[in-house]
Amino acid sequence: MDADNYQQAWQAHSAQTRVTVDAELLLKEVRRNQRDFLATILRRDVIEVAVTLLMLPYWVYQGLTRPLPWTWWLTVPAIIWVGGFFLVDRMRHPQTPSDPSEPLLKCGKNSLTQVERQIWLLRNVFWWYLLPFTISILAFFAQVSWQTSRNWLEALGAGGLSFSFLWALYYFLDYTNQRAVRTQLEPRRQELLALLKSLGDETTSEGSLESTEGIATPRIFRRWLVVAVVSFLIYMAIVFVAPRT
Amino acid sequence: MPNEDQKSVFMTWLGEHGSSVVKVARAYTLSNEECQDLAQEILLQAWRSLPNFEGKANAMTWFYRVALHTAMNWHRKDKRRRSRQQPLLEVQALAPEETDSAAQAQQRETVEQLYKAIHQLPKADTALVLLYLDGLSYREMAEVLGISESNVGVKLNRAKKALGELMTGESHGR
Repeated sequence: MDADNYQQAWQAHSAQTRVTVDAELLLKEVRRNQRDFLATILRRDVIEVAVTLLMLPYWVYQGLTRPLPWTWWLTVPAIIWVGGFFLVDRMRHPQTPSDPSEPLLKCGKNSLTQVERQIWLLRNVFWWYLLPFTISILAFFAQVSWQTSRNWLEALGAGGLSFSFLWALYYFLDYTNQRAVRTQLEPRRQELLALLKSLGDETTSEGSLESTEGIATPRIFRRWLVVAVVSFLIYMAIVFVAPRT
Repeated sequence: MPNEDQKSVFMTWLGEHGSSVVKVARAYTLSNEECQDLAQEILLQAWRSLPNFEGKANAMTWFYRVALHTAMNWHRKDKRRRSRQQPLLEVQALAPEETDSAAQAQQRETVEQLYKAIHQLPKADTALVLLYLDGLSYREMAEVLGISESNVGVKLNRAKKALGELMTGESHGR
């Protein structure tokens, strides 16, 4: 049997099949689907930015009305940086889904661009999101524990506890983001690259076929270990050298 | 496009090309449940995309574009969301005009074997083979896939060869 025979059998079989659709139910589902989709976009694009920007007046208000140490204000530039980063990124790279009625090659390219952007964001989440908050909040914890303790041992104990909690939380966030890159985004990227390559896309260079996997777990641990050691040294310097106010 | 017009156009097209939705869904899934899920997702995407239809492509190539794009992006993790969804479509086997049960059985078996072979092909080859089996011209295939007609020719020859090998029992690395 050759390909033409397969084609004949296929078409004869298709002719004996009829698809009926419940149009009213389809309309209802489309409306529900549209609502879910808009809710997702709203959650992703608006709430992420809004929460970050709403933190700013809250932080300023607390700073002005409560007797907080000066390190409280270090978080303000961190919030502005992260909120601004979100806004600029969403404006420069709007993640609108491609129209499915576009040719497959075009849709594939669009999806690849979006996946690669998402990978870049998550791979670098340590630098643009976690580190600014880690530095500012750790500095605040250090100053508060030093000011409220009777001696250096108590300061180290109190500061160490809050420091460990924050360190573990941010390490976990970094780890889950890199895991998402490895287990979800990179396989999807490879799938899209394979699709584009098999469709003969000449714009997919050999270089782009290289893996952009998330940061490996030992490397995530190493960078957070560096953060811990540097923070601890700074804290020690504050405890032993800086005058208590 | 007003809602009623859209509905009427959509239903007419579905009557003419609805079977391609089911064929694509079956080619890109392994179980009946997944096939039903994907077919429903293709219908939802097609309805959503209909207002963007500019008449540049014909209805068949438009349906195939939507179906293939949705199939390529379909993930099983969406299953939980769709589990709340009631079945939108029903596939009926029509009674053949001429009853030749042996020929019918042979045909059905060939189609089953074709689906088994298609499941082993790479995704892009699956798309090409589906379009070929449904009798689309090189030009229409090029419109669906967004590649040149000459490229279609080269790739289709390879895909047909791979399909032939799979159908005759030869192994094909996915």
